Amino acid sequence: MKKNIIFIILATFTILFSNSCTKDFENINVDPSIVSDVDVRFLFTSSSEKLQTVRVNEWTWEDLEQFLRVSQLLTAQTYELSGAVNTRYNYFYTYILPNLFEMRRLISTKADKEKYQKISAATYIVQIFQGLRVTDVNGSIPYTEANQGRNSAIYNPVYDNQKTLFDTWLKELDSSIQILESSLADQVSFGNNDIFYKGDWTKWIKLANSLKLRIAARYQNPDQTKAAQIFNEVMTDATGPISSIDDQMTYNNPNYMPFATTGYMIDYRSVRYGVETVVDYMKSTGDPRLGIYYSKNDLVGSFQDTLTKYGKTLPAWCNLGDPLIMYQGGPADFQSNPDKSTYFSNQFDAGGANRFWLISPINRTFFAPQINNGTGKFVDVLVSYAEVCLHISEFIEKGYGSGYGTSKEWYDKGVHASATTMNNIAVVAKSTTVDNISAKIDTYLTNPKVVLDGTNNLEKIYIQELLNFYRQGNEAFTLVRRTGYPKFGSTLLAREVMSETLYRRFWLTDPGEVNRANFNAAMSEEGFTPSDQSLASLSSQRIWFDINSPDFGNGN
Amino acid sequence: MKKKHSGRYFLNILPLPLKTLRVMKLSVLLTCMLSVNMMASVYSQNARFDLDIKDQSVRDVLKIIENESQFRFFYNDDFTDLNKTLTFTAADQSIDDLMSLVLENTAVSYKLLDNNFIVITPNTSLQQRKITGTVTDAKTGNPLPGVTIVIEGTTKGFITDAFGKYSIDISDNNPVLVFSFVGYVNQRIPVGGQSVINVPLAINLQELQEVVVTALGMSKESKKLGFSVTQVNGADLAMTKQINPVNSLQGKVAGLQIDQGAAGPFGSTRIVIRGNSTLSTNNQPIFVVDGVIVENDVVTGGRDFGNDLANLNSEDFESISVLKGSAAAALYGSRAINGVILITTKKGVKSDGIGVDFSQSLMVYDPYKGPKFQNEYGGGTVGAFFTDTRDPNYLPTQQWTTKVFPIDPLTNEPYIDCQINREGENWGPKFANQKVRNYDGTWTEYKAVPNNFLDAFQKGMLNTTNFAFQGATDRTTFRFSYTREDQQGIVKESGLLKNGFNLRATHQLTKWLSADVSTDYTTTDITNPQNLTSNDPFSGNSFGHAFTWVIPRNYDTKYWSQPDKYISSFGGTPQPYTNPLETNKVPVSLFWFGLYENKVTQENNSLRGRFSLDAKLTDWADLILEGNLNNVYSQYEDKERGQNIGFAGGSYTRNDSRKLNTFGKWMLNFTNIKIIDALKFNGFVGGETQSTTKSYTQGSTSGGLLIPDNYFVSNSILTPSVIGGTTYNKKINSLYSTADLEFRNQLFLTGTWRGDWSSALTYKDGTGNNFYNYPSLSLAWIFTETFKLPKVITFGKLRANYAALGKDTDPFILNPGYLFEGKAVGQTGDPSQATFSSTSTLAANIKPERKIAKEVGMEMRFLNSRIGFDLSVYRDNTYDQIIDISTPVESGVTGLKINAGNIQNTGIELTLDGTPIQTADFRWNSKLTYSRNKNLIVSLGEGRNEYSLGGDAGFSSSWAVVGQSYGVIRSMYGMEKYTDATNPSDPNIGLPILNWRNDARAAFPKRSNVWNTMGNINAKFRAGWSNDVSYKNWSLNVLFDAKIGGDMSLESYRCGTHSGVLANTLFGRDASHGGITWTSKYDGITYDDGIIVNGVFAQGQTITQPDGTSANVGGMTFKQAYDAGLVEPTHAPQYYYRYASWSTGTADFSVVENSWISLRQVALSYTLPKKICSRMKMTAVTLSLIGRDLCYLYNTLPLNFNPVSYNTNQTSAAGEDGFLPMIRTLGGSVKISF
Repeated sequence: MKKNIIFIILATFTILFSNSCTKDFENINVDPSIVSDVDVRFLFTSSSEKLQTVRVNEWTWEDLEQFLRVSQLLTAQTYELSGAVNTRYNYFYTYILPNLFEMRRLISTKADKEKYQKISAATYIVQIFQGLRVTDVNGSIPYTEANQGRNSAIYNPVYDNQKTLFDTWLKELDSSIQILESSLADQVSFGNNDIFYKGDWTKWIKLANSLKLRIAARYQNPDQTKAAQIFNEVMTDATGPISSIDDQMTYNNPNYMPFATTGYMIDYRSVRYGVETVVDYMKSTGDPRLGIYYSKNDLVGSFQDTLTKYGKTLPAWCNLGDPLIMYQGGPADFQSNPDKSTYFSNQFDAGGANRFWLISPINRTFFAPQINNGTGKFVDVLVSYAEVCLHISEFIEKGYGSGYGTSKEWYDKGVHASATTMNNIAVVAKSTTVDNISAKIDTYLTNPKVVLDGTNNLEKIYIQELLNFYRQGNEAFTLVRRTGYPKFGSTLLAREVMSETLYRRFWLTDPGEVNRANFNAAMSEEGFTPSDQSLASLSSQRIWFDINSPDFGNGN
Repeated sequence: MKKKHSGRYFLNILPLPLKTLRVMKLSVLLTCMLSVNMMASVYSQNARFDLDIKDQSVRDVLKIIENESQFRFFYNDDFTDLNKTLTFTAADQSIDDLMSLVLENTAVSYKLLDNNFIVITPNTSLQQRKITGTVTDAKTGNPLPGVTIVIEGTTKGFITDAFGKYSIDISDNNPVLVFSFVGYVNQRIPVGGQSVINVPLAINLQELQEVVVTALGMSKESKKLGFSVTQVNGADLAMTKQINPVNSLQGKVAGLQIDQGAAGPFGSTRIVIRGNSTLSTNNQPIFVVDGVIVENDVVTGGRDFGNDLANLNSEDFESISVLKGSAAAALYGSRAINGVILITTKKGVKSDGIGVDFSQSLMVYDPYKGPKFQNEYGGGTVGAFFTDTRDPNYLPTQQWTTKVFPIDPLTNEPYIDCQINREGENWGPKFANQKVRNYDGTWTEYKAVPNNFLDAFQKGMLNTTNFAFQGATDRTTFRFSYTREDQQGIVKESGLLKNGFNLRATHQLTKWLSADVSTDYTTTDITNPQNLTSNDPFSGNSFGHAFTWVIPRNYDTKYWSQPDKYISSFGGTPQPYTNPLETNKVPVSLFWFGLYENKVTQENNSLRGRFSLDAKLTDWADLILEGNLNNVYSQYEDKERGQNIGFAGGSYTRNDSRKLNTFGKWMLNFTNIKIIDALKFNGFVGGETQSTTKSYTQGSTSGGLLIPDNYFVSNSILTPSVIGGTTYNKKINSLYSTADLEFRNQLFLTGTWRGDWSSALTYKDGTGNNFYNYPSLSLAWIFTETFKLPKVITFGKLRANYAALGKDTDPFILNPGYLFEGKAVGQTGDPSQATFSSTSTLAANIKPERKIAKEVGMEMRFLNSRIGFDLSVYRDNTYDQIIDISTPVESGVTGLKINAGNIQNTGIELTLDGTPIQTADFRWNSKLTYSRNKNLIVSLGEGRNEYSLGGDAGFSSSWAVVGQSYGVIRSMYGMEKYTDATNPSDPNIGLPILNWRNDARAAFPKRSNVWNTMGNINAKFRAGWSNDVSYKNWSLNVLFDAKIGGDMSLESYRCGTHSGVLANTLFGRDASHGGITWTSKYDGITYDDGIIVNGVFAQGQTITQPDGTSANVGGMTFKQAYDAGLVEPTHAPQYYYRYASWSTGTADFSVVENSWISLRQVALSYTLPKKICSRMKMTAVTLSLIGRDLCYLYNTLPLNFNPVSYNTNQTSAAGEDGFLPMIRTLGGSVKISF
């Protein structure tokens, strides 16, 4: 009996243990939710979405606290540049480039790879769109050797200087445009996986050309000839740049709330106010965007009766005869004019229980439709038709090319496009809107301070570019850097002197021992002190496109 | 069936007597014992007995005779002699002969009466006599003075004199004397008829002969081990009443580092044996309960539900073995690279009574101390500049003025600054019971609420009930236990309820086959555990964070934590910022709302089942077969109440997860094979297979709840999100063997070998370096058996071992691919998104990790074992670790997984123990443990010198740096120090460089923005000192433990300095606290909060003067510039605010030494005397009073910060990010056995 039982036990366990020591290991060690074959279009959507995710950080820490303030489109307390800025840099390498590179790699291994040529071409446009934004504030960055860790074991990519970047991108854009413009049969479409254009290749071509205009704008100070050459390429291209509001690169997702679900982040750390120079310019020119951009102060309704009743007199800068008295800006330097800046944080005592806010904040609903339980939605136009028109106007005005119409035509188109787009955004945001805006723009364009009549043409174009970049801090900051406009003492829109030292770029952090040599080489090529985040360095050590630029406010 | 059973009687009646006996029995039955059978004596006298008795008590033998004959016995049941056990064989004996045999050597005699009654009486001659004798050392024959002699069952004690002699008067009939002496084996001697008893006492090698449980559950004599194992008695741990059994090991084992986390009593605890041996964030040992591996996962941030260890019940522990060295753990394979904590549960034992143990304890958690806050100033902002939005109703002239209330311009009434939509600051007015409007508009007196932090807590309670039934027969043991732990947390609405059932049975199926089966089912319900970290003041729920960052000193916790205060009259939380009609502007309402209105629960159902069969094949070989499974089902629910008007918003998440671990093993065990006379062999070969899978499904609402306050997944405004999958799947197959050689009871050599095949090292195509093996060799030499050494040395042993261990990696790592990221919800058609499953890439041919461990040790005992020590010295090196070497982000990958590195741990562990005092009634045992570990990163990957370990806390994180150690605390935010190459003798060199802000007129240290070493998490040494004092039935345990050295980053210290709530921010706030009084030339206002900042201005620094000119102060210290009239004092609030702010602060001051000495435990217990117990029909009653974590006798953290505050139990944890108060536990227990 003992033998039998032992035999049975042994037999049972022999069966249990008789499998090979590695049986089924190759299946056990695979996560069922990880696939080895993926629709490349899914990768594209992921990268495209991340272009916007990073903007959540930028809105608060860069646009509101830094760029729009330094560009004097709004005024607020001074905040130091902190580690919260420049998130775009890591995003670019972590979330945007890897998928796009992988798409192209996967496509190159496909048997039917010729069907994916256009999809492949579009990937460059996305990466250049973001790459441009990264170099705009950082100068030299890895690109030509970037993202080669996974497949080529390059972990120390060289930092390309900005000229190399621009030239590489121009080549890549040209190549993409060429592929997208050719009539290739049987191309796989992005469909809804293209969140910007739903697979409309023409619009991608227009975007690529518009990005070339952005590069041209940056090329002007280092190399005007090159800028002109790019401009002419774009204007003579079969498809050309963005040519209507419908072509704009727009991120439009009702669930996107960059200022948090209640919109409270719009006032995070500080309420932002209109700047007196801009508000006064818009008031004096009858700019229909005034109410879209800024909110009214408390000088509305029967405020005059109250003042009379209590015998109160408003500060001198509030002119009772001004029909637009409800729009008042404050000093761009938050502390520069204590008599006025006190009203940023204090109300005017109008007698009795009446207290009036005198300075207009930015229109919070326009930026954060959810504020005050609002139900509007946020629309982000990333590359606008207005920008394109105004760039063309600027380049024609500068004589870079001819035969494309007059600078005034493009200027007028641009101002129309800008106001219409801003109004459209306001409609969706359920913010302040303007009726018959087109007619109002027509009138506006006849105002002597606005009309492109040969006096101060370039300045007027710059001013419109600036006003159009009210929701694009990075572009506004680039504009004021490359042009030196608005300029001090202007009779149109003057820049106000700010007492703080103003940076002209961000900084890159030490990449660690693996790539420190390349990093230091790039920093030294640019004349940057590595890891130095002091304003002294950030203001004096400029990136390539900015080296020949005038100082802030010193445009000519 | 004439077979004799050992221990069982067999009454053999010869043919003839058998018949008579039967008649006799019949007649007894017929007469029903009513009348005296006249014939009985005749029959009885003739009765012959055939008896085979083995190990039966006298009483039992008498019962047997009664049962099988008509003799009836009368005796006093108290006669101790009746307990005497007998073994004899009686053949064909008369009752007289039989009785002589039975009562031989007892102090009683019998009398046979006519009616077959036998009366047993004591031998009167033996009463009231004197016993004398001499006690000697059994080996040397020398007399032993001071030996304690106790009459068993009494408290009467005697002591031998200087010549080892004693004399005792006894009145009992047959007492038993117990001779005891430190270092000797107790002797128990029944007096019987003797009057002179000379007792030789043998030296006690008990600790050395102690049997310990080692790897794979094998019991071994500790003296034969060539490696270091520390075994702790389960009862000692159960006594500490800790929910997490790891905590109860604190201070008891040399080389064990235990640090509790910030989540309080049921949170996770970090445990490390002999230092961090790998670069991973989890260097914790595995826990093996009766062969079943229980995961010891790390918990990082968020709510800490504890890990699977919380499902264990220390009441069921028989013993815990800590296998420290790799040689000890080698047989566990790859999972044991960080050591093994081996738990053996109790099994049934034969008991005196009916075998029921009951214990009940009540422990009270007392949150007794918070950090040192200041209580002189209340809430208010730092000034107008460079800060969050300031209340508009400060006057325009108060830009730099703090210590004032804003005034409502309509009513001209002061109110407490509500600090809406900003962090809370504490730069408001000095407390003077001013009348002021409170946050909700009511009038209040402005005063400090010194205890507002502790007011947020309540006394917690832990009620533990344990029932155990047990019993045993010769072939079977069983034990069933039920444990209930009901804990009420120190935070309202938090708690834990645990019900554990454990059944273990062993059975000898046949003489050669036995089975051991156990099952454990435990349910643990945890509600609202603590958050370890929180960086978000508006939604987080970390107390430490709230009270150092957003809650000012005037905040009355008891008042504001009431529902009608933290809930808005509109429903949801008060929203003064977004709802203009809101009247309640209290800060931090969301904190209480989140704490009391949200409910996060996790219910774990843990089932462990195990069987083991042991077949004795021959005298020298056993076959053991074992299987077990460990299954944990968890159901997690998160009910977040809507915070918007009408309770809109909110969310619900439900997660169901499962962990399943199955295990099968066979083992062929060889015992006591004699090779030659002096050489014995033991050993085994075996194999096992284990597999672990983890999976989950989670559904959650999205975009808020459709109907507020209703918690189910489909109650979702947007499409609910559903995710799930398998997160872990690993199988390891193994073979192993050991050989123990034993030479003349003095040399012991053990060799082990194990080979593992791991699925985790297998590529998709089936290839991979998935086999690895590791040998170990250990040698023990009891040199006191070899040499004749001076008498003072009782015992001495040297040991040495060498082991190699291997380790695989996590499953799936080797087979990356693409991962669906979910849909881009909101975009047309909700398009799908995908990306890489891993942001790091893999080197080719990943191979197993390797650890080489070497250890030598020495164990000695002196003065008849009265004192002794155990010393281990070790060096471990871990090579070829599978780590993600970080790569620059520009390469497109964040890391490269390679085999790299060499980490070395060198250390020493020392245990000293002794019995300083021993008298008849009093005994004091003392044990000191000391351990010191030095970690050295010998190398990382090629060309790599630094490796980030994560474990971030505040500004700092922990790193491995070549030439330094695991856990170097580094920060990019250290102060930049002044240098001047042109003038190396400048006395200002080395001072912090100052930042200057013209608008705030403030100087503060400048950040360097480069990585700087700030400290090191590793302790210099750890020590524990345990004392056991017993006096008669009383015993007292006092345990201290200490960690000396090692740094910690205190994020809350930074926060509290920034916000001005901590006591260190008083300096300079007013003249009485050292503030400089001056009239500012900038505005003509007189201030009294000026300080001279320590530091030097950078070259080229200019300061705008009151007249608008600019003065160059470069290279001057602040003091020099101040003396030169170029700078006014910095306002103290501006200084502290900037010095410690997230955006400009510096890290140096918040990385501090974390050394402490803790009075870990005081436990007093009293065992009721046996007499009282038996009067109550109980076998034992023990009453205990326990105090745990009583106080810190020494604490180097500033302002009494709580050392028990780590924000994760990752072994790389750099520090704290939100703390709880110091919590002590006080309570009592009663333990009763029936």
